[in-house]
Amino acid sequence: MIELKNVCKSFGKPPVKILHDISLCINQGEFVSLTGRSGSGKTTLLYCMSSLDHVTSGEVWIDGEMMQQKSEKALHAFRNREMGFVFQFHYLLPELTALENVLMPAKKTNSEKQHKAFAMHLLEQFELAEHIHKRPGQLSGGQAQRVAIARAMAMKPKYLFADEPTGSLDSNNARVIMNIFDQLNQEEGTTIICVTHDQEFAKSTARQLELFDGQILQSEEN
Amino acid sequence: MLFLALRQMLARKKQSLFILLGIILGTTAYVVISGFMLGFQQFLLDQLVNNMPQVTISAKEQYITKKTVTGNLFPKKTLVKWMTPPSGVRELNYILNPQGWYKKLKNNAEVVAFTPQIQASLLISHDSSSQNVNLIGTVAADQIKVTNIADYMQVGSFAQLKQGGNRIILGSGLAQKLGVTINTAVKLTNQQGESKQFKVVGIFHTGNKATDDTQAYAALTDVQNLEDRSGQITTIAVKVKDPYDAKNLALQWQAFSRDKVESWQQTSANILSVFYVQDVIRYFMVCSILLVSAFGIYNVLNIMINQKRREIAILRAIGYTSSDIIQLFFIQGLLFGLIGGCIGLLLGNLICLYISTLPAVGMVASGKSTMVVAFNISIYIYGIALALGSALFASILPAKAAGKLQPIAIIRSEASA
Repeated sequence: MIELKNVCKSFGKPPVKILHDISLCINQGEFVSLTGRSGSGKTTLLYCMSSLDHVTSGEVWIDGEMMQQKSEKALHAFRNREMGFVFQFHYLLPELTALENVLMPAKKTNSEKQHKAFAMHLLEQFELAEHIHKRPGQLSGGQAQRVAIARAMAMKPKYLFADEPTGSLDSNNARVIMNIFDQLNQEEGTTIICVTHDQEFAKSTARQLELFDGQILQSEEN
Repeated sequence: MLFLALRQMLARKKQSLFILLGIILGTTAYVVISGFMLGFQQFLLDQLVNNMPQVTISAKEQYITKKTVTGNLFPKKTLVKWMTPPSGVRELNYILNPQGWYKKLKNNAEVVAFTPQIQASLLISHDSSSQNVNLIGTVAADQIKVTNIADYMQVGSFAQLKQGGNRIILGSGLAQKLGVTINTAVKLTNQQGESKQFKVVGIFHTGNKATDDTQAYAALTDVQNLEDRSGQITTIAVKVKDPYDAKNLALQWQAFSRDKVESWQQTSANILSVFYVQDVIRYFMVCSILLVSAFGIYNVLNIMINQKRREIAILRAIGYTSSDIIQLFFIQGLLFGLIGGCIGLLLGNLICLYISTLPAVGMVASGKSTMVVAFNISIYIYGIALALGSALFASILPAKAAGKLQPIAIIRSEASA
C-alpha cells in the first residue's frame, strides 16, 4: 500500500509550489491513472510517490515504511526489489540485447540466473521472443517500449510506476501497451500507477486521479 | 559493472582504440626509453665499477704555504714579510705508510683485492714517434683482481708483467700512434731525462679513447726503478665486495688517514649527475606522453557520460547506486590502463629486444658487440603503474561526476528537451 500524507513539493528559488498538501492512499493491486493538464504536477507526484524525488514536506509511506527515513542504499535496494519504472522513452542500454536489458535489475543483485526464465517468459508474453538477442537500435519504438516494461517487471515488483508510457507511440502500439498493463495488473496483481494524457487509457484504469495546479481535483472509480 | 563497462568500451570501438593507442604509445615509449637509457647507464656503471678501482687511496699533495715556511724558518713572534710568498708542492707525492694500509685492507672483510701502484707521467718513443704516457706501475697478479683490465687485452696477456724485466703493456691508441706491435722495444724517458728500454708484451683496448690513447702498464718495481723512487707508491687501488658501499667505506677510511681516500662514486660524480639528469628527462618525457593520453581518457569519458545520461538515469532508477555508476566508469579507466599498459609493455619489450640485436659502436671492447638495453623488472613494474595511474587519474573526475547525477534531474531535462 502507498500512502501520501500532506505531501508538498516546491522547486527553485524563490520556491514555486508544484504539489499542494496531497494526501492519498493507493491499495495493493490497484491500477491508478494520473491525469491532468501539462504542469499540473502529475509527473512530480509520480516521482515523489516512487521516492525517485524527495518531497519538500509531508510523508510517503510504502508497505508501512516511511521512505524519507530510509538511507540512500536501502532506498536503492527497495526500488530494485519492489518497484518497476517505465518512462515515455524506453531508456534501454544500447550496448545490450533485449534480454540483457531486461535482466539489468537482476544483475544488480547477481540473480540473473534465477530471473532469466521469468525474463524470457515476459518477452514471450510481450511477443518479443524472436527479438531477445537484438539490440535496441534494431527494435521498433513499440518493441523497445515493451522491452522496457519487461525490464520494469523482471524482478516481479509490487509497484509499477509509468510516466506516459504510450506518449511516444502510435495508437496501435499504445493499445498493445495498455493491454500489457491490464494483463500485469489482473494476472500478476501488480499495483500500477500511470501518468497519462490519453483519456481512453485513463478510463480503462480502475481509478483515475485528476490533478489541477498541484492538487487532486477529483478521484474517480471507473 | 565489469560486464557493462566492457560492453560500453566495445560499443565505441574507435574511441576506445584511440585511448588505447595513447596509453600503448606512452607505455611503449617508457619501456624503450628506459631500457635504452638504463642499459647505457648500466654499461657505463659497469665500466666505472669494473675498469677502475672502486676505492683509490692516494697521497695527499702537500702545498707549500707562507705559514708553514715561516714557522719552520723563523723563530716565533718574528714578523716576516715575504717579497714573493712561497708556493708549490712540497715534495714528490707518495703514501707514507703503505704497510699500515696493506695490513688494514687485508684484515677488512669488505675488501676483495687491492694493489699498490706508482703512477708516472713519461715520454714514450719509438723510432721518430714520441707520445706522453701515463704509466702505471702495478703488481700484475693483484691488478687483474682489482679491475678487469685482463679482459680487455687485445694482444698478449696481462700476466706477462709478473715476470718484470722492463715489460710494458700499451693502450691500443698509444700503440697505434707509436706504430708498435708486440715484442717491439720502446724507450721511456722520465722528467729528469733518464731513459730505459721496455719491451711491449701486450696491447689493451678498453673502448675508452682517453685511456687507450694515453695509458700503459708495467711492473711496479720497473716503474719505481725508472722513476728512482724505490719502495714508494702513489696509489693503492682497492676492489670491495659491494661496489655501491664503496662510498661509505671510503668515508670511514678517510676519517682515520692523512691520505686521500676516494670512492668511484666520488671520482665519477659528474657522470653520475648526468645519469640523474637523464632520469629526470626520461620521466618528464614519459609523463608528458601519458598526460596527453590521460586527457584523451578524460575527454572521452566526459563526452560518453553526457551521451549516457539517460542510461545513467535508468540504472539509478532500477536500483544501481551512485557508487555503482562511479565503478562503471572507473572500471573503464582501469581496463584502458591495464590493456593499454600490457600491450605497451609487450611492444616496448619487443622493440628493446630488437634494439639489443643492433650493432653497437664503442662497446666492442667490453665484449658487447650489440647495443646494451636494460630489461630490469622495475622498468616494467613502473611502466604498468604509470599506465594504470594515468588512466585511473583521468577517470576519477568523470566517474565522480557521473555518480553525482540524479536520475530525476536527468529524466526531467530529457522530458523538457
